Amino acid sequence: MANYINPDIIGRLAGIGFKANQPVEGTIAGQHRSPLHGLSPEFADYRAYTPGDDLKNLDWKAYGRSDRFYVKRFEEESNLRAFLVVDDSASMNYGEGERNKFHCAATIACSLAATLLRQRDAVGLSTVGRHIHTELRPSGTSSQLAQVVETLERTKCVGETDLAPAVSIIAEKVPRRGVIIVISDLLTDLDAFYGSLGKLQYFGHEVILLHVLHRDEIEMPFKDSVIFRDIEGNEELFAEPWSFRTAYQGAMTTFIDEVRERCHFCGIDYLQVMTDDDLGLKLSHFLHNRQLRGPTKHRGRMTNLKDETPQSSSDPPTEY
Amino acid sequence: MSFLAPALLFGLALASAPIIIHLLNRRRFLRVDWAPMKYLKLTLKTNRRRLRLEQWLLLAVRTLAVAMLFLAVARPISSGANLAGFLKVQGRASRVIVIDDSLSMSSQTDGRSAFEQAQLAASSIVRAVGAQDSLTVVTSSRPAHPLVRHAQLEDADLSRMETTIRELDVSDQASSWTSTFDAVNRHLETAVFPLKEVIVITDLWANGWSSDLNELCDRWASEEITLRIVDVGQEPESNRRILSFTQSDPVALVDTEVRFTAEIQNDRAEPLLAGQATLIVDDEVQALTLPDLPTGETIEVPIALTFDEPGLHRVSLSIPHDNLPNDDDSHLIVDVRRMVEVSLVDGEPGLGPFESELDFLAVALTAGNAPWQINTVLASEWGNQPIGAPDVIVLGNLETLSPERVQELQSLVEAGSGLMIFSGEQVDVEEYNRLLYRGGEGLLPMRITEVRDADTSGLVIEPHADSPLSPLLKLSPESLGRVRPRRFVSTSVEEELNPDVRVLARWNNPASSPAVIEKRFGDGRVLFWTMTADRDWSDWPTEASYVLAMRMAADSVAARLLRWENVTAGQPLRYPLDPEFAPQTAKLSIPPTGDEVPLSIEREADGIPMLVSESTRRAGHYLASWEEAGIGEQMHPFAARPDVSDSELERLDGSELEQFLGRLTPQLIRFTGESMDVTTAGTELWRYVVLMLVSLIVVESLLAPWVGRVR
Repeated sequence: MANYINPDIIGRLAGIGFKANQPVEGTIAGQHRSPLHGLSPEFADYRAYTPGDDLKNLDWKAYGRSDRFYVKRFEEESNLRAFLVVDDSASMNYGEGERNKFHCAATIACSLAATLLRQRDAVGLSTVGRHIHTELRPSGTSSQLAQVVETLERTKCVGETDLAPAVSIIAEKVPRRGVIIVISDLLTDLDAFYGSLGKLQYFGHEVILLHVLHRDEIEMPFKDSVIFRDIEGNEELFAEPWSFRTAYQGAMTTFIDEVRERCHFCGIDYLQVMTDDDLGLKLSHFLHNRQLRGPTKHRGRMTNLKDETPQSSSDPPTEY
Repeated sequence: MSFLAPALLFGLALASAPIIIHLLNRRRFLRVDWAPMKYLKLTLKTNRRRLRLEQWLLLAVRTLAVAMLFLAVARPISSGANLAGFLKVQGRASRVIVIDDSLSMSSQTDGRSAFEQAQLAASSIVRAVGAQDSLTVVTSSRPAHPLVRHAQLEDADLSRMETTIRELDVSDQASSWTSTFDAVNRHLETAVFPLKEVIVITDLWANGWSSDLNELCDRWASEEITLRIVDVGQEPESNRRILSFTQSDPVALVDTEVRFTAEIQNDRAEPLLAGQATLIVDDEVQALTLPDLPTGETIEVPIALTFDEPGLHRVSLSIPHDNLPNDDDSHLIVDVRRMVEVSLVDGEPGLGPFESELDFLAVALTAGNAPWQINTVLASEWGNQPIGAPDVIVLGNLETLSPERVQELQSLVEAGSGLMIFSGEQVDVEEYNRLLYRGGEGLLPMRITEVRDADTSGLVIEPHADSPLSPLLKLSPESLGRVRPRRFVSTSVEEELNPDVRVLARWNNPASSPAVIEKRFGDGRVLFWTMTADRDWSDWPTEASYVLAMRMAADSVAARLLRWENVTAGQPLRYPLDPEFAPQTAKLSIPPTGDEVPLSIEREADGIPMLVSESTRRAGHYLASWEEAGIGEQMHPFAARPDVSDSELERLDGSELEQFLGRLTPQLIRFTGESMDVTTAGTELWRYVVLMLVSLIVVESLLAPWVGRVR
C-alpha cells in the first residue's frame, strides 16, 4: 500500500497555509473572504437605512455630517470548500515507486488536503478518468484526511484520459463557490478540457491546475531503439529516440508552454510538477507565491480552443 | 560482364551483412509503456519519412560498399553487350574487318585454333552488320587485297561471304600491324559513309604491335574513327619451335657431307626426350632422332646430308607438332654443285706460263683432284661486264676499279661471296682507298699508305682459333721464314681497326706489318694480301706453303650465294631471268596445296627481267615455272620458312595494347566462340570499381554521422 502522507511536505505547507484568492462561500466562519456581508471587523460599504434595520448598525457620525441615515456593512469571512480532482487514468501510472505520476499526484492531493483540513476548510475528492470514478464529498472533519488517503490508495489507474466530461460534471455538482484543484498529466483532449475549466470559472470557482509529468516524458532519455506501447491502448510504435529526440522535446515544451500561457491568460494558477521534484519545496513555493501575489488578474475565462480567443471581460462576471 | 576470379563473387553474399545487422539492431529494443503517445506520433509523423529515407540511403551505401569490395577483387571485365549492341552505331557506317591470319593464330586450344575462332567471329560480325552499312573484309597478311570492298551485303551475298571466310587459311607470316593499319587506312580514305570503324579480330599476341601505330591512331582518333578489337586468343602457355634451320657449310658439293644446323627451342613444361624429327630431302623422308630438349632451353642440332646430284635440292625439317604447329617445320633450298667456282680477275696478264699475275694462284687451287673451277677474267674485260656470282672472287694487282664494279662486289660480298685482294705495282693507292676503303665503310680492311721495300725475315701467323691460315702453324718455322718479300704495301695503324677487321698474318719485321688482313662484310669475308700473288715481290709462290695458304684462304671465304631461293614467309619471291630468253608468262606452284598462280615479270632499272611474286603467305617449297624460247620449260624452286618471331609467347592485355594506339581508345571484347553471342571481356574494370568503393566509403563516413545525429 502506497504511503501518500508525507509529514515533511505537510509540515512545510502547514506553515504557509492555503489562502483562497477569490471569495468563497463556506458554511461556517473561516479565514477566507466571502462574497456575503457579515460580522467580521472588515468594513465593506454603506447602504441607506431602511426601516426595520437594526439601529446598532447606524453610522451616527455619518448622520451628523450629512443628516442622513446610513447603515455600515462588514465583510463576511467563511471557510473554504476545496475540491481535489485527481486524474486516475492509465497514463498516470507511468514511473516507478515514488516517481510514479499517480503517486506524485496523490501525495500532492493528501498534502493539500491535510493543509486545508488543518485550517478547518472542507476538502472533497474526485478521482476521474473518462468518468468520475470515486467521489468524496467535501467535509472539514478530522477524519476526512484519512478518507482521502484511503480513497486514493484504493484507486487504480486504468482507462483512457478524458477529463472534460468529469470536470464539467464536477462544476455543476459543486453548489457553492470554492477552489477546484485539478491534478493531472493533462494528456487528454485539451480542447474539451479547456472548456470544462471555463465552466468551473463560470460557476465562480477558483481553479488551480497542477500539471504532473515524469521527466522521461519530457526528455525521452532512451539510448536504444524503443517500442512505445500506448499506455492507454494497444497501439505500438517502433522508433529510435535519438533520431527525433530534439523534435519530441520541442513538441512537449510547446505543449507545456501552451497550457501554462493559457492558464496565465485566464487567471488559473498553474504549476508544473515533475515526479522527481522536491514536492515540499515546490508546493511551499507555489503556495507562498500565491499568497504574496494576491488575487489573479485575468483577461478572460477559459474556453475551448475552437473559440480561438478567450472571452472578453464583457462576459458574465466570475463572481456572483 | 565476366570476371577473372568469379569464385570471389560468392563474397557478394556478405553485401547483405549491413541489412542483417540493421535487422538485428531492430530486434534489440526496449519496450516502454508510454503516455504522451499523441506528441510522439506528432513528432514521428513529421520526421518518419525523412528518417526512413536517410536510413535506407545509408543502408544502401553500406551494402553497395561491401558489394563493390568483392566485385573489385573478382576483377570484372568490361560491360556486357551482345554482338548487335557492340556493333551498334548511330547512322550508316563504313566498316573494315581485319582478320588476323598471322602464324600465332594457328595456336590451338581444345582442338580449335584461334584462327578458326576468328573465322567464326568474322562470320558472326558479317551477319550482324546490316545491309545499310558498307563492309570491307581483309586479312592481316594481305590487307591490300580485300575479300570484299565497300560492299553492302544482301542476304545472298552474306552466304557467299561466309563461305569465303570459312575457306581462309592461316599464314606463316608474322603480324605487322603498322603496314596492315596503313592498308586499312587507305580503304577508309575511300569509304563512303562518315561513320568509320575498324574491327580487328586477333589473338592479341604481342609481336607486330609497335609504337609506330601511334601517329596513325592519333589521326584516327581525331577523325573519330572507331577501333573495335575482338579478342579470340588464349593466354600462350608453352611452345616448341624451330628457331632456325641453316646450312653451316658455305658450299655444298656433290658426294661431300654438307652440314646443317637446326636451332630448336623448347618452352614447353615437359622436356622432349629422344624426340623424332622428320627430314625430307627431295621427297625422300628420313627419320632424325633429336637430342634431349630440356624445358626452357634452346639447343643446336647438327645435321649432315650428302647429295648425289648437283642442283637445287629441297630440304624440310619437321619436329613433333605441338599446340602451335606452324613453327614446327622449316624449309630450305640447298644449291649442290660439283665444283667451287673461283673468278680470278687478272690485273697483269702475261703471254707465257706463270707470267700472268694470278697464274701461280690458279695452279695452287687446281693442282691435284681439287674441286675448284677457275674462271680467269682479264681486268679490261671485267670492267665492261659483270662476273656473275662466283663463290670466290680474286682481284690480282688491279690498277683501279670502276664504281659499278665496286658496287657489284659489295653486294656480292655482303650476300656471302668471298673476296681476295692481292697488291701489286699497278695498284693505285689513292683510288683503292677512295673506292674500296671508303673511310672504313668499304671492302678494304685497312687504308693503304704506301708501297715500300721490305726488310722482313719471314711470315708470322697470328694464332686465331678460327683463322683460315691456322693450318700454316703446323708447318716448320723455317718454311715460313723463307717467305721474304722484297716489297709490300703498308697499311694504316691498327688502332683504327674496327671489330670486323683482324690481322691473320704479319711480316717478321720490327713494325710487325700486316701481311694478311681479314674483314667481315655482311655475310661474306674479304682477305687482303699486302703482297703480290706472283713472284714480282717474293718467291713465296714457289713454296709449298703458298699452295696450302691459298687453298685454306679460298676455302674459308668461299660461299655459294643463294640470294633468291630462301626467304621468310611474308617476303616476296624474286628471281632474275636471262634477258635474251625472257618469257611472257610464268606461274608459281604454292604450298601446301600446289595450286598455281601467275607470276609477274618486271624489268629492273638495268633491264634485267625479274620473276616477282606477291608475298609468300605460307611456309614450304614453291616452284616457279616458265617457258624459254628454244629451250623449253624452266623451273626454279624456292623455300619459305615460317616467321617464328610471331610465336613469341607474349600476349597483350587492354592496357598494354593502348600504349601502341596513341589517343585512340579501342573497344575490346572477347569472343568465346560458343555461339554468335559475343560476350564481353577485354578491359578490366577493377580500377573503376575501386574508385566507386572509395567514393562509397567517403559518402558513408559523411552520411553515417549525419543520419545518426541527435534530432
